[in-house]
Amino acid sequence: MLYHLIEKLDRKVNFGTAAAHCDIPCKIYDPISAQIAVLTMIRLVDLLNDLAEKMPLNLDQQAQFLRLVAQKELHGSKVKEEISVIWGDYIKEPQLENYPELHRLVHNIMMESSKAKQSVDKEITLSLLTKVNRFAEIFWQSKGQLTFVAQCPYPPEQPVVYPVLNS
Amino acid sequence: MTFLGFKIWKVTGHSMFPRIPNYSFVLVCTWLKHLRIKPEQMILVHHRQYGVIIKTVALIDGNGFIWCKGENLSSLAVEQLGPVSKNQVIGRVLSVFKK
Repeated sequence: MLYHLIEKLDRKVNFGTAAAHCDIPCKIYDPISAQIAVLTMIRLVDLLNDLAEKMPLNLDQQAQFLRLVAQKELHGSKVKEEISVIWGDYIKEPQLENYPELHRLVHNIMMESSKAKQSVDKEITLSLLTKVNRFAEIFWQSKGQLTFVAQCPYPPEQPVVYPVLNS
Repeated sequence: MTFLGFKIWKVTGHSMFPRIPNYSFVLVCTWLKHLRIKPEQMILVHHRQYGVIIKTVALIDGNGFIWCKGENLSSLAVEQLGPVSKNQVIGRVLSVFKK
């Protein structure tokens, strides 16, 4: 109730504003970081599966195994972070009205990122890529940019949504 | 509009969540800044780079400079905000009015 009183008062006297921003409002958003993080996860899963064929592992291979798992964790968290920043900072009411699937899509990306961290299942990481690609497609469409799908020119050579940029 | 050193400010942004959610109002006392500032107190600062910001005191260093932090992981890091001197402090937050 007190809040609403102050809010009404604010409309009349316009209180000063103090910023509690999380980062500099630079307006630089690009889902490519999330897409690359998923591609990295897919590549790491491939490398982990290669290692599985070399059982039992020698010391070097065990060290390699640990590094691959650690990096997969890291990139799983990166997917979540990159998507949440765009979702929280860039996506606003107009985008939500035009793309009502956004909340559900982002929630699914969060859940699937966790699943991809928990397992060494390539199908899960591929499914995550599909969702992150869809998010990228929506993002670029919301900025009036056309998109196209191309296979990334490096391992794991998976389809990625890119914006069509004019030179 | 200041009354006896008390002033209401509107807060925008998420870095102080959950202590101060976006679009909350805070009651700030300007003369309380002259008393000892301690960690975990919320203060309003005139930051040279970011303008008027609201942050939590992380620590006071040996030279008397105040280092500030946000309240969640996506806030600017303490070292990114850098130290502020006492005369950059506008006041201390007394109350938060949340939606």
